[in-house]
Amino acid sequence: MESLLMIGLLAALGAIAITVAFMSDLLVVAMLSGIFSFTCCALFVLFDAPDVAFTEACVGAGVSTVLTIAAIRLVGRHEKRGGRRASVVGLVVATVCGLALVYGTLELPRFGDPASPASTHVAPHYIEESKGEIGIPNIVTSVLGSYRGYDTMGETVVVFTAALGVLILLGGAQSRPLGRGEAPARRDRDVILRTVATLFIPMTLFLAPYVQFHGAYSPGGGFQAGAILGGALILYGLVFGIDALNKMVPERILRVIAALGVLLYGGTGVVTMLMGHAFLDYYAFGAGPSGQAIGLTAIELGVFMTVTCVMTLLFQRFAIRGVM
Amino acid sequence: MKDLVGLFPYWAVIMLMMTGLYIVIAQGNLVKKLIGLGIFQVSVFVLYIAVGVVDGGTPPILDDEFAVYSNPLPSVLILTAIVVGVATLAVGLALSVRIREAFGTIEEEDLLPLTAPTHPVVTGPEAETDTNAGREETRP
Amino acid sequence: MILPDAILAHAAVLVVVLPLLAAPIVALIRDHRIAAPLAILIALASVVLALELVNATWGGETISYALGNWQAPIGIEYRVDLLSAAMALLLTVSGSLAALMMSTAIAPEMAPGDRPRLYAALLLCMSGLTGIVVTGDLFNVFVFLEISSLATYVLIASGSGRDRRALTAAFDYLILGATGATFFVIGIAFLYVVTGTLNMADLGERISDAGRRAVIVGSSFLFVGIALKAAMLPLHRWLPNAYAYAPTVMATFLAMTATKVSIYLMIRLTDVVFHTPGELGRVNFAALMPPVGLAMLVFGSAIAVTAKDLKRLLAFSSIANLGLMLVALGLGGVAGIAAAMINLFNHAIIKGGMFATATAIVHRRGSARLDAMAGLSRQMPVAFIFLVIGGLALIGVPLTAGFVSKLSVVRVAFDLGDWTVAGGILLSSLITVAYVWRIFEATMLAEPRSDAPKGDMHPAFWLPVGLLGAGTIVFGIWSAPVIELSTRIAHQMAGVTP
Repeated sequence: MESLLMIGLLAALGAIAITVAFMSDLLVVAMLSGIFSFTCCALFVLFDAPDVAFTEACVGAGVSTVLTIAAIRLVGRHEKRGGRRASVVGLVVATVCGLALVYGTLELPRFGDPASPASTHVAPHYIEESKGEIGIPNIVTSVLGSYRGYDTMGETVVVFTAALGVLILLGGAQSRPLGRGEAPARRDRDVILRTVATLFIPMTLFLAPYVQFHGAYSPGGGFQAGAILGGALILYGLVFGIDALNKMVPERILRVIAALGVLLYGGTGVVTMLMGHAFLDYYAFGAGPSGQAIGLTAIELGVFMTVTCVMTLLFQRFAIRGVM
Repeated sequence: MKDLVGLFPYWAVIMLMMTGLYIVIAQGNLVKKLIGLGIFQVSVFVLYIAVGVVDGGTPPILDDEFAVYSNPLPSVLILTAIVVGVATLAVGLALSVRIREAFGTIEEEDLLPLTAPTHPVVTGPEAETDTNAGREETRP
Repeated sequence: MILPDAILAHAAVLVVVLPLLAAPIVALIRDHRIAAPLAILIALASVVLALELVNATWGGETISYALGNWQAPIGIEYRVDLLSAAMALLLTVSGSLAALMMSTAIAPEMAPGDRPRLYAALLLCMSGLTGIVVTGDLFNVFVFLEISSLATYVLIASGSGRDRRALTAAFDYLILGATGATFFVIGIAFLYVVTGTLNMADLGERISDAGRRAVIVGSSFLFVGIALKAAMLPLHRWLPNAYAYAPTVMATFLAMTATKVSIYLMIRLTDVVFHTPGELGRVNFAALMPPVGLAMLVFGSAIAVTAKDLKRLLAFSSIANLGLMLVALGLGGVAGIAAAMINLFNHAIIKGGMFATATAIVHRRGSARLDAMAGLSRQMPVAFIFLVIGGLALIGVPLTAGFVSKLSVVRVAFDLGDWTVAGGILLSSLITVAYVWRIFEATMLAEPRSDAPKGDMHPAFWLPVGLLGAGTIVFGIWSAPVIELSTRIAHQMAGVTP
C-alpha cells in the first residue's frame, strides 16, 4: 500500500515538473510549483519526516508561492515564447548528470535498508541517547537545536541575510518610490474572503505558539511556528490591504525583532561561552536536560522571532512596491 | 533484480532533479528559472529524506510503543536546506523585480544585447523600457 | 599573544561568530557614520583573532573545537590547522581593507540610509567565508557557503547605482551559485549515505570501506559545485560580469577572497576527506587540473587583452591566475600545494592592490573604462604608480610578488619535467605583457581630457592601496614569509613534519 502511494506521488511529481517546463503563464507555473511542494510534503510524511513536511508546507509551499506571485505582479505574468526551442545544452547536462547519479546509486544501500551506514553510524546515538542527554521526545528537535544547533544558527543568519538583501534591493532610498498597497479585498464584494480570513487569522495566531512550544513533543518548532505566524500576517495583508498590515506591524519593528532573533540565538552561545562552556553548550545553564531545556527554549524563540518577522517583511517589501 | 527495485525511489527522484535542472538551464524567463531551481532543490530534499527511511520505522519522535525509528539526521539537514532555499528564492525574486524595472524585461534573450559589455552604461532604475512584453498584464 | 586565555580558547569560533553577530547590530544602526567605524572595528578584531589562530597553529598543531560541546561526529566540529588559520587571516584582512574603503567608495552611489545594511552584508559575507575555512563539518560548509553567497549577490547587485548591469550579473551568479550549492548538497548526500557521517575527518576514515561508485559520483558532484564557485573553465561565466559591475570596493573584496575559498575547499577535501592530495575521491581530478588550468591561463589572459574596462580586464586576469593555482595543485605533491598557496596569497595581495587602486580611480573619475583613464599618470600619479606596481607583478617581473608566484610553479614544473606547463606559463606571461601594456597606454600615452576631475586618491584609500602595494613589493623582495607559510601548510597537509 505504502509503496503504491509512493509510486503515485512520485509520478504526480514528475507530471507536475514536466508541465512546469511547458507552461508559459507564470502564475500557473507558480501555482504548479506550490502543488509540487505540497505533493512533496505528502511524500515526506510517507517517508517518516513529519517535521520536514511541516516546514515544506509552511515555507516551501506557502511563503515561497506567495512571494513568487507577489513578484509576478511586478514583473509581468506571461513568458515570452517567441522562437524558443528545446535547449540542447540543458538536455545534455541534465542527461549526463542524471546518468551519473543513477550510476552512483547502483551500490547504494537499497531504499529503507536498516543496515545502511547512515542508519548505523551517527544516527543511533541521536535515537538512543537523546532522551537522556536532551530529555525531549522529538529527536529532530534535539538534533536541530542542540547537537547541530550551530547549523541552525547559521540557517537563522541565512534568513536574516535574505531580509537584508531584499531590503537593500527593494527597500532602499535608491529604488523606486513606494506605491500604495493595491487590491485589498473590498468590503462590499469579497465577503467570503474576508469572513474566512477573519476566522482563520485568530486560529492561526493560536496555532503558532502551540507549534512553537510543543515542538519538543511533536513535529514543530521555531521555524514552523515562525512561518505560520508570518503566514497569518501575510494573509492579513493580502485580505485587508498592505496598509492595514503596515499599521499593525510597522516595518521598523519587524526589522528590529528580526535582528534581535539572531542576536538572541547567538547571544545564547555567547552567554554559555562567558559561563566557561563551549559555544552553544546548553549544559552551562544546568546539568542534564534542565540546562538543555533552557537553551532550546531560548534559541527556538530566537528562530521564531527572526523567521516570523523576515517572512512578513519579505512579503511587505514585494507587496508595497508599485507596478511600473 | 530485487536490488534494482529497492533503488527505484532514488531513480524517480533523480528524474525529478534533472527536470528541475533542465528548467534552470533551458528557460529564458528569470522567474521561471527560479521556479525550476526550486523544483531542483526540493527534489534533492526528497532524495535526502528517502535515504533516511528505515523499513518498519516510525517518525523519529520517541515513544514507548515504538522501537524502530527513521533516521533523524536527514530531516534536520533538510529543515536547514528548505529555509536556505526560500532565502535564495526571495533574493532572486527581488533581483528579477529590479531587473524588470531597470531593463523592462526579464527574458534572457532580450537582456543579452542590453547587458553586453559594449552596451552604453545606464545608471539607476529609471532606465528606458526597451520592450513592452508583458507590460499590460502586470496585474494578475 | 596579546589576548587573554579565556578568549584564546574560543578564538576559532569567535573569528566567525563575532562578525556574524555584529552584522544585525550594524544593520540596525541608522546613522552610517556610526555603522561604518563599528564595521571596521569588528573586522579588525577578527583580524586579531585570526592572527592568534595562525600563531597557535604555526608549529603544526590542530585546534579542535566542539560546538555545543558535542564531540564529533555527533556534533559539529571546528578544526583549525595552519591552512585554515592562514585563510581566515586572508579573509579577515581583506574584509578589513574593504571596510576601510567602503564608506568613501560607495558614498556617490548609495543613499546614506542604505549604507549600514551594506556594511552588514560585507560582515556577513566575510564571516560566512571564514566559517567555511574553519569548519570540519561538510554540511556546515554548505550553510556558511549560503550565508556568504547570499551576501555576495547583494553586494554585487548594489553596483546598480552606477550601472544597471550589476543586477543581471548578480542574478546570473545567483542562478549558478545556487545550482553549484545544490550540486554540493547532492555530493554530500552520496557521501553521507555510504559513510553515515558528515564530519570530514570521520568521513576520511570511513570512506575506504564505502561503495566505490557512490564515492566517485559524490566527489564528482562536490567537485562540480566547487568548480562553479572557483570559476573553473567552462563554468567561469559569472565571474567577469560580477567583478566588472559590482561596486569596485566589493570587487576588491571578492577578488581577494571568494574564489580563493573554493581553491581552499579543493585542497581541504582532497586531503582530509579523500587522503589523496590532488585527487578527489577516487577520480583523478589532478589529471584534469593542469590542462583546464592552462586553458584558463591562456584564455583569461587573451580575453583580458581585448577588454575595454579596467575592472573587466582585471577580472579576466583573475581567471588566468586561478588557472595558475589549479595548475600548481594539479602538479601535486607537497611542492604543488605549496606553490598553489604561494600563488593564492600573492595573487590576493596583487589583485587586491590593483582593484583597490581601481576603487580609488572610479571614486574620483566615476568610470573604470580604459578610454576614460587618459591622463591618469599626470592627474593621479600616486594611483598610477600603484597600477604600475600591480601590472608589473601580474607579468611576473622580478622583485615583485608575482615573480615569486610564477617562479614557484615553474620550478615545480621543471622538477617534474613538465614542459607544457612551463611553456604555458611563459606564453601567458607574454600575453600578460600585452594587457598590462594596454593599462599603461590608456593611462599614460592617451591624450588627457581637459575636463577630467582634479585630485589624486581620496585619503580613505591611502592605507588599503598603500598596504597592498607595499605587500606586492615587499613579498617580492623578502619572499621568505609567504614561502615559509605556504611550505608549512603543504607539509601539514601532507602529514610530513617540516
